[in-house]
Amino acid sequence: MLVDNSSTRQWETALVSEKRWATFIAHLHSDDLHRSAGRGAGLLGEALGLGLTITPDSVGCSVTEQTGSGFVTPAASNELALQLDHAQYAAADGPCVAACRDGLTHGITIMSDEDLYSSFTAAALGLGVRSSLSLPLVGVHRPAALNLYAQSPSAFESAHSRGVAALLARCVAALLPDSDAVLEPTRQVGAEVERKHALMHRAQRVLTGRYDMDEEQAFTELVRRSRAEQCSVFAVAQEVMAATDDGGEQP
Amino acid sequence: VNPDDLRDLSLFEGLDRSGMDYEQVWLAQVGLGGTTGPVEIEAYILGLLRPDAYRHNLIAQAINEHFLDGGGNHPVAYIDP
Repeated sequence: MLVDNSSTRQWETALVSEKRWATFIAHLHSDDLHRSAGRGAGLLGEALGLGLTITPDSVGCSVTEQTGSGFVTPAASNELALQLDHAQYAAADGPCVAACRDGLTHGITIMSDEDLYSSFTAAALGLGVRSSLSLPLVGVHRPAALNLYAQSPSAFESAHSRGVAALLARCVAALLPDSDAVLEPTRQVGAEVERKHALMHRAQRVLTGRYDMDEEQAFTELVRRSRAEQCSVFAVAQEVMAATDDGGEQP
Repeated sequence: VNPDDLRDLSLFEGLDRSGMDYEQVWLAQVGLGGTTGPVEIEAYILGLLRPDAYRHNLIAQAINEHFLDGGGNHPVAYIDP
Protein backbone atom coordinates (compact mmCIF):
# COMPACT_ATOMS: atom_id res chain seq x y z
CA MET A 1 0.00 0.00 0.00
CA LEU A 2 1.28 3.46 -0.91
CA VAL A 3 1.26 5.99 1.90
CA ASP A 4 1.09 9.69 1.07
CA ASN A 5 3.25 11.40 3.66
CA SER A 6 2.94 14.89 2.17
CA SER A 7 -0.10 15.92 4.23
CA THR A 8 1.57 14.60 7.39
CA ARG A 9 4.70 16.60 6.61
CA GLN A 10 2.63 19.73 5.95
CA TRP A 11 0.85 19.25 9.28
CA GLU A 12 4.15 18.77 11.09
CA THR A 13 5.61 21.85 9.41
CA ALA A 14 2.58 23.93 10.40
CA LEU A 15 2.83 22.67 13.97
CA VAL A 16 6.53 23.55 14.21
CA SER A 17 5.86 26.98 12.70
CA GLU A 18 3.01 27.61 15.16
CA LYS A 19 5.24 26.69 18.10
CA ARG A 20 7.96 29.03 16.85
CA TRP A 21 5.50 31.91 16.49
CA ALA A 22 3.99 31.20 19.91
CA THR A 23 7.41 31.20 21.57
CA PHE A 24 8.50 34.30 19.67
CA ILE A 25 5.39 36.31 20.59
CA ALA A 26 5.59 35.21 24.22
CA HIS A 27 9.20 36.45 24.38
CA LEU A 28 8.24 39.73 22.70
CA HIS A 29 6.04 40.51 25.67
CA SER A 30 8.65 39.77 28.29
CA ASP A 31 9.49 42.77 30.45
CA ASP A 32 13.26 42.56 30.12
CA LEU A 33 13.27 42.70 26.33
CA HIS A 34 14.67 46.20 26.09
CA ARG A 35 17.02 45.81 29.05
CA SER A 36 19.12 43.14 27.42
CA ALA A 37 20.85 43.73 24.08
CA GLY A 38 21.75 40.06 23.79
CA ARG A 39 18.17 38.98 24.34
CA GLY A 40 16.92 41.46 21.72
CA ALA A 41 19.52 40.22 19.23
CA GLY A 42 18.50 36.62 19.86
CA LEU A 43 14.87 37.45 19.23
CA LEU A 44 15.80 39.40 16.11
CA GLY A 45 17.50 36.27 14.82
CA GLU A 46 14.37 34.27 15.55
CA ALA A 47 12.28 36.89 13.74
CA LEU A 48 14.45 36.60 10.64
CA GLY A 49 14.11 32.83 10.85
CA LEU A 50 10.33 33.24 10.90
CA GLY A 51 10.72 35.38 7.78
CA LEU A 52 11.89 32.22 6.01
CA THR A 53 8.53 30.55 6.75
CA ILE A 54 6.30 33.18 5.10
CA THR A 55 6.16 31.29 1.80
CA PRO A 56 7.14 27.68 1.04
CA ASP A 57 10.13 28.80 -1.03
CA SER A 58 11.33 31.76 1.00
CA VAL A 59 15.13 31.78 0.95
CA GLY A 60 16.22 34.96 2.68
CA CYS A 61 15.28 37.59 5.22
CA SER A 62 17.29 40.59 6.36
CA VAL A 63 17.24 44.11 7.75
CA THR A 64 18.60 47.08 5.85
CA GLU A 65 19.57 50.32 7.61
CA GLN A 66 20.45 53.57 5.95
CA THR A 67 23.63 55.15 7.31
CA GLY A 68 23.99 58.59 5.80
CA SER A 69 24.22 58.02 2.07
CA GLY A 70 25.05 54.33 2.42
CA PHE A 71 23.27 51.18 3.56
CA VAL A 72 24.18 48.29 5.85
CA THR A 73 22.68 44.96 6.85
CA PRO A 74 22.77 44.68 10.65
CA ALA A 75 21.05 41.29 10.63
CA ALA A 76 20.40 38.60 8.03
CA SER A 77 19.02 35.08 8.09
CA ASN A 78 21.80 33.72 5.87
CA GLU A 79 24.58 34.51 3.40
CA LEU A 80 22.16 34.60 0.46
CA ALA A 81 20.13 37.43 2.00
CA LEU A 82 23.35 39.30 2.67
CA GLN A 83 24.45 38.90 -0.96
CA LEU A 84 21.09 40.13 -2.24
CA ASP A 85 21.21 43.15 0.05
CA HIS A 86 24.74 44.02 -1.01
CA ALA A 87 23.80 43.77 -4.69
CA GLN A 88 21.28 46.54 -4.04
CA TYR A 89 23.71 48.65 -2.04
CA ALA A 90 26.26 48.39 -4.85
CA ALA A 91 23.67 49.53 -7.37
CA ALA A 92 22.34 52.19 -4.96
CA ASP A 93 18.92 50.94 -5.98
CA GLY A 94 16.52 48.06 -5.41
CA PRO A 95 13.48 47.34 -3.23
CA CYS A 96 15.28 47.58 0.12
CA VAL A 97 17.04 50.82 -0.82
CA ALA A 98 13.78 52.29 -2.12
CA ALA A 99 11.86 51.25 1.02
CA CYS A 100 14.44 53.02 3.20
CA ARG A 101 14.36 56.11 1.03
CA ASP A 102 10.62 56.65 0.65
CA GLY A 103 9.17 54.71 3.59
CA LEU A 104 6.91 52.65 1.33
CA THR A 105 6.65 48.90 0.70
CA HIS A 106 8.40 47.77 -2.48
CA GLY A 107 7.83 44.32 -3.92
CA ILE A 108 8.92 43.00 -7.28
CA THR A 109 8.64 39.86 -9.32
CA ILE A 110 11.89 39.30 -11.16
CA MET A 111 11.35 37.85 -14.62
CA SER A 112 14.39 39.19 -16.44
CA ASP A 113 17.47 41.26 -15.76
CA GLU A 114 15.89 44.07 -17.76
CA ASP A 115 13.22 44.62 -15.12
CA LEU A 116 13.14 47.56 -12.73
CA TYR A 117 16.33 47.69 -10.65
CA SER A 118 18.27 45.91 -13.43
CA SER A 119 21.57 45.65 -11.56
CA PHE A 120 19.89 44.00 -8.61
CA THR A 121 17.60 41.76 -10.67
CA ALA A 122 20.54 40.40 -12.64
CA ALA A 123 22.22 39.44 -9.38
CA ALA A 124 18.99 38.00 -7.97
CA LEU A 125 18.38 35.84 -11.05
CA GLY A 126 21.94 34.58 -10.79
CA LEU A 127 21.19 33.50 -7.21
CA GLY A 128 17.87 31.86 -8.14
CA VAL A 129 15.66 34.53 -6.57
CA ARG A 130 12.56 35.74 -8.40
CA SER A 131 10.62 37.61 -5.68
CA SER A 132 11.64 40.38 -3.35
CA LEU A 133 9.61 42.34 -0.82
CA SER A 134 10.91 45.16 1.36
CA LEU A 135 8.80 46.79 4.06
CA PRO A 136 9.79 50.01 5.83
CA LEU A 137 10.34 49.74 9.58
CA VAL A 138 8.39 52.33 11.55
CA GLY A 139 9.53 53.83 14.84
CA VAL A 140 13.24 53.11 14.41
CA HIS A 141 15.92 55.78 14.71
CA ARG A 142 17.36 55.38 11.20
CA PRO A 143 15.50 54.58 7.94
CA ALA A 144 15.31 50.80 7.75
CA ALA A 145 13.51 47.99 5.97
CA LEU A 146 12.73 44.31 6.42
CA ASN A 147 13.64 42.36 3.29
CA LEU A 148 12.17 39.06 2.16
CA TYR A 149 13.39 36.93 -0.74
CA ALA A 150 11.85 33.88 -2.42
CA GLN A 151 12.62 31.61 -5.34
CA SER A 152 9.28 31.69 -7.14
CA PRO A 153 7.76 34.64 -9.01
CA SER A 154 4.97 36.56 -7.22
CA ALA A 155 5.75 34.78 -3.93
CA PHE A 156 4.64 37.76 -1.83
CA GLU A 157 1.61 38.85 -3.84
CA SER A 158 -1.11 37.30 -1.66
CA ALA A 159 -2.87 39.34 1.01
CA HIS A 160 -1.93 36.65 3.52
CA SER A 161 1.81 36.70 2.87
CA ARG A 162 1.75 40.51 2.90
CA GLY A 163 -0.13 40.42 6.20
CA VAL A 164 2.40 38.10 7.82
CA ALA A 165 5.25 40.20 6.45
CA ALA A 166 3.69 43.37 7.88
CA LEU A 167 3.32 41.78 11.33
CA LEU A 168 6.90 40.56 11.23
CA ALA A 169 8.14 44.01 10.17
CA ARG A 170 6.47 45.61 13.19
CA CYS A 171 8.01 43.00 15.49
CA VAL A 172 11.46 43.50 13.95
CA ALA A 173 11.14 47.27 14.33
CA ALA A 174 10.45 46.82 18.04
CA LEU A 175 13.53 44.60 18.40
CA LEU A 176 16.09 46.94 16.85
CA PRO A 177 18.39 48.75 19.32
CA ASP A 178 17.16 52.17 20.48
CA SER A 179 13.82 51.57 18.77
CA ASP A 180 10.77 53.60 19.71
CA ALA A 181 8.50 51.18 17.85
CA VAL A 182 5.64 49.84 19.91
CA LEU A 183 3.52 46.78 19.36
CA GLU A 184 0.62 48.13 21.34
CA PRO A 185 -2.34 49.62 19.46
CA THR A 186 -2.33 53.31 18.64
CA ARG A 187 -6.04 53.66 19.30
CA GLN A 188 -7.37 53.90 22.83
CA VAL A 189 -10.28 51.89 24.16
CA GLY A 190 -13.02 54.49 24.10
CA ALA A 191 -16.18 54.93 26.12
CA GLU A 192 -18.34 53.05 23.60
CA VAL A 193 -16.10 49.97 23.74
CA GLU A 194 -16.09 50.13 27.56
CA ARG A 195 -19.90 50.39 27.57
CA LYS A 196 -20.20 47.30 25.34
CA HIS A 197 -17.64 45.43 27.45
CA ALA A 198 -19.61 46.20 30.62
CA LEU A 199 -22.90 45.17 28.99
CA MET A 200 -21.48 41.83 27.88
CA HIS A 201 -19.97 41.26 31.30
CA ARG A 202 -23.27 41.95 33.06
CA ALA A 203 -25.24 39.72 30.68
CA GLN A 204 -22.73 36.88 31.13
CA ARG A 205 -22.96 37.30 34.91
CA VAL A 206 -26.74 36.98 34.69
CA LEU A 207 -26.47 33.78 32.68
CA THR A 208 -23.79 32.24 34.88
CA GLY A 209 -25.78 33.12 37.97
CA ARG A 210 -28.94 31.62 36.63
CA TYR A 211 -27.70 28.56 34.79
CA ASP A 212 -24.98 25.98 35.24
CA MET A 213 -22.41 27.63 32.97
CA ASP A 214 -19.15 29.55 33.18
CA GLU A 215 -18.45 32.90 31.50
CA GLU A 216 -17.13 31.35 28.29
CA GLN A 217 -20.23 29.18 28.05
CA ALA A 218 -22.36 32.27 28.72
CA PHE A 219 -20.62 34.04 25.82
CA THR A 220 -21.29 31.01 23.63
CA GLU A 221 -24.96 31.15 24.60
CA LEU A 222 -25.20 34.85 23.75
CA VAL A 223 -23.57 34.19 20.36
CA ARG A 224 -25.92 31.25 19.76
CA ARG A 225 -28.92 33.53 20.28
CA SER A 226 -27.33 36.22 18.11
CA ARG A 227 -27.03 33.73 15.25
CA ALA A 228 -30.51 32.30 15.76
CA GLU A 229 -32.11 35.74 15.86
CA GLN A 230 -29.77 37.15 13.16
CA CYS A 231 -29.00 40.16 15.29
CA SER A 232 -26.13 41.77 17.15
CA VAL A 233 -24.90 39.96 20.23
CA PHE A 234 -25.15 43.28 22.04
CA ALA A 235 -28.90 43.34 21.28
CA VAL A 236 -29.12 39.86 22.81
CA ALA A 237 -27.20 41.05 25.87
CA GLN A 238 -29.62 43.98 26.18
CA GLU A 239 -32.53 41.52 26.01
CA VAL A 240 -31.00 39.42 28.74
CA MET A 241 -30.59 42.46 30.96
CA ALA A 242 -34.09 43.75 30.19
CA ALA A 243 -35.58 40.35 30.98
CA THR A 244 -33.59 40.28 34.19
CA ASP A 245 -34.96 43.67 35.16
CA ASP A 246 -38.41 42.16 34.65
CA GLY A 247 -37.34 38.96 36.33
CA GLY A 248 -38.27 37.09 33.17
CA GLU A 249 -34.99 35.72 31.70
CA GLN A 250 -35.71 32.27 30.30
CA PRO A 251 -33.22 29.62 29.15
CA VAL B 1 -21.11 40.39 -3.48
CA ASN B 2 -24.45 40.11 -1.71
CA PRO B 3 -23.73 40.02 2.05
CA ASP B 4 -26.12 37.08 2.35
CA ASP B 5 -23.95 35.07 -0.07
CA LEU B 6 -20.98 35.18 2.29
CA ARG B 7 -20.72 32.25 4.65
CA ASP B 8 -18.25 29.94 6.37
CA LEU B 9 -15.42 32.43 6.02
CA SER B 10 -12.18 31.92 7.91
CA LEU B 11 -11.05 34.68 10.26
CA PHE B 12 -8.63 35.94 7.62
CA GLU B 13 -11.22 35.81 4.85
CA GLY B 14 -13.68 37.61 7.10
CA LEU B 15 -11.22 40.36 7.90
CA ASP B 16 -10.31 40.69 4.23
CA ARG B 17 -13.96 40.95 3.12
CA SER B 18 -14.98 43.24 5.97
CA GLY B 19 -12.44 45.95 5.23
CA MET B 20 -11.62 46.11 8.96
CA ASP B 21 -8.05 46.51 10.12
CA TYR B 22 -6.47 44.48 12.92
CA GLU B 23 -6.84 47.24 15.50
CA GLN B 24 -10.55 47.50 14.78
CA VAL B 25 -10.93 43.77 15.38
CA TRP B 26 -8.89 44.02 18.57
CA LEU B 27 -11.08 46.85 19.86
CA ALA B 28 -14.24 44.98 18.85
CA GLN B 29 -13.19 41.86 20.76
CA VAL B 30 -12.42 44.01 23.81
CA GLY B 31 -16.00 45.27 23.56
CA LEU B 32 -17.17 41.67 23.52
CA GLY B 33 -15.26 40.93 26.70
CA GLY B 34 -12.03 39.62 25.19
CA THR B 35 -8.64 40.21 26.77
CA THR B 36 -6.41 38.92 23.98
CA GLY B 37 -3.57 41.27 23.01
CA PRO B 38 -3.34 42.94 19.62
CA VAL B 39 -0.33 40.96 18.38
CA GLU B 40 -2.00 37.68 19.29
CA ILE B 41 -5.23 38.77 17.57
CA GLU B 42 -3.27 39.44 14.40
CA ALA B 43 -1.43 36.12 14.68
CA TYR B 44 -4.71 34.22 15.20
CA ILE B 45 -6.32 35.88 12.18
CA LEU B 46 -3.27 35.17 10.02
CA GLY B 47 -3.30 31.53 11.15
CA LEU B 48 0.16 31.78 12.74
CA LEU B 49 -1.28 30.78 16.10
CA ARG B 50 -4.28 28.54 16.68
CA PRO B 51 -6.85 30.02 19.08
CA ASP B 52 -9.03 27.86 21.29
CA ALA B 53 -12.73 27.80 20.45
CA TYR B 54 -13.60 30.65 22.82
CA ARG B 55 -10.96 33.03 21.44
CA HIS B 56 -11.75 32.03 17.86
CA ASN B 57 -15.43 32.75 18.44
CA LEU B 58 -14.68 36.10 20.08
CA ILE B 59 -12.75 37.18 16.99
CA ALA B 60 -15.39 35.70 14.67
CA GLN B 61 -18.12 37.60 16.51
CA ALA B 62 -16.05 40.81 16.44
CA ILE B 63 -15.87 40.60 12.64
CA ASN B 64 -19.44 39.36 12.28
CA GLU B 65 -20.73 42.35 14.26
CA HIS B 66 -19.22 44.53 11.53
CA PHE B 67 -21.06 42.50 8.88
CA LEU B 68 -24.31 42.69 10.88
CA ASP B 69 -24.00 46.48 10.91
CA GLY B 70 -23.85 46.33 7.10
CA GLY B 71 -26.82 44.00 6.68
CA GLY B 72 -24.87 40.74 6.64
CA ASN B 73 -25.49 37.71 8.80
CA HIS B 74 -22.60 36.03 10.60
CA PRO B 75 -20.49 35.04 7.55
CA VAL B 76 -17.41 34.17 9.60
CA ALA B 77 -17.54 30.58 10.79
CA TYR B 78 -17.53 29.67 14.48
CA ILE B 79 -15.92 26.70 16.19
CA ASP B 80 -18.10 24.51 18.36
CA PRO B 81 -16.66 24.55 21.88
